[in-house]
Amino acid sequence: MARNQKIINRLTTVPYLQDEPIPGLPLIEIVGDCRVLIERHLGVTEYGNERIVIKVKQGQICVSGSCMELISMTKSQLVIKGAIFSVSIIKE
Amino acid sequence: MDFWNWFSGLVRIRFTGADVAGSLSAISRAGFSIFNSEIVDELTANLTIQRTSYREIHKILISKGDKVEIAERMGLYWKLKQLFKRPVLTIGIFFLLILNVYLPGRIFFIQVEGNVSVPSRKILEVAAQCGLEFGTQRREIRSEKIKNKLLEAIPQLQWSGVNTRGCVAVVSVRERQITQENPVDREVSSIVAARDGVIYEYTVTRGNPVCKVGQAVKAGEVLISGYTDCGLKIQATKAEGEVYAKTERALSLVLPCNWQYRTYDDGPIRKYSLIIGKKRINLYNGSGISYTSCGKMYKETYVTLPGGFVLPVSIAEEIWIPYELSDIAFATEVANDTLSDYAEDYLLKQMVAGRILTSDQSFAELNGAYQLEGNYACLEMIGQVRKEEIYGQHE
Repeated sequence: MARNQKIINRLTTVPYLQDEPIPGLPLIEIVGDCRVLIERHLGVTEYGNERIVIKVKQGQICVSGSCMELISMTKSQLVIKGAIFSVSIIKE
Repeated sequence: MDFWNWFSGLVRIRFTGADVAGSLSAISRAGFSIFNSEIVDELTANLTIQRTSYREIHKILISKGDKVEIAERMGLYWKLKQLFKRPVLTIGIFFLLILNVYLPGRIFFIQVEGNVSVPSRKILEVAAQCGLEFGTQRREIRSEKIKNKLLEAIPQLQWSGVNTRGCVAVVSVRERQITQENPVDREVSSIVAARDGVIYEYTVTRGNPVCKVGQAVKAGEVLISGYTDCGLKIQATKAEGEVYAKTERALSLVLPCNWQYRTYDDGPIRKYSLIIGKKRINLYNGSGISYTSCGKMYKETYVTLPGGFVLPVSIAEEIWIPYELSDIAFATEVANDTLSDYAEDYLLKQMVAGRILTSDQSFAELNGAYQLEGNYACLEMIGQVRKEEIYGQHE
């Protein structure tokens, strides 16, 4: 496990791979302050209009805001819409 | 939510459970897509799912102890399903769609313009031979072909053309300006006596007079000849004139003493039927005439389109007039007057022109009938045109 983490950390430092998604790591896209796309999630652990917590491999992603909705959710990705205040990663 | 999801149908469900987020995670872990998730309260959420995945998602949520209900059905699939529950409307829409494709390219009305002496029906018949008729496809109309056929079949036409406007074909024609000679002037004819008589008035405006006033003539005898001997040659012409003669006419009339006549107590009864092709639909109850005596009139009115095309649909109207027969006996004076009036009226109608000078009438009652025997002296026109044959003339 530690070895895998090591490889991933090394990959993230390779200059020409910096813009590419790394396998196993979640991809988070924030469009302005109204939309968040998260790929490679493991489910929703908390769901409310002001706080949505999404489980990922490395821990949890907490999206805070107001009037938030899950406008799309598939096995691999989900899209949150609403007024986004913050996106934070909570490491386990 | 893309077009395909909308096409295949979506279901908006409302579920209530202790762990809304866990339920959403369970659905996504099972590989199903969720759209437009909306939190109603801490325990309730609305979400949109695909129609095909509803059953499995329902199972997942029930297994987690959630309560699920359908809030709304969306998408084309459900709209069509609703539509198919109304077969008449569906067939109507389908029929309209077919017509929408079929109708614009067809001709349903044909108009003829520019004709004065040539009847429209004749033009339409010739046009129909070239394929311009009810229901013809517009692209099959060959204007040049129809024009040539029209000009060949109807010599009175100088020019023709066919234009189409939507479902209407307009056959425009221009007639030839013909300076007609009077063909009658080239005929040779004489005036002959139609009846025996003594000439009373004799007027000749053209031709050769061969009789004179006071002369007795027999039926068929020439009164004004069309031939005039000019010495070196014979002039043939159309004889014209008026010849009045005194004639004798005899008439015998019979009128029964007793008559039967109809009395109409009730008004006419009208019955209507709709005839479509050979199928007849009676729009009334009963099928026969229940009256002992009844007059019947029958009239069919066909439905036609502009241009003279008759549809195989007609409305038949039957008018039944019930009546009673009653006896009536003629009085002798009334019968004699009736016979006398009828005899004079009949004689005047028999003459081309003229009048009755004197009459000698005798009345009798014989075998249940009144009889009138009459001799009438008349002054009437007896001239009758007889066409003469010209040797060597070919029609």
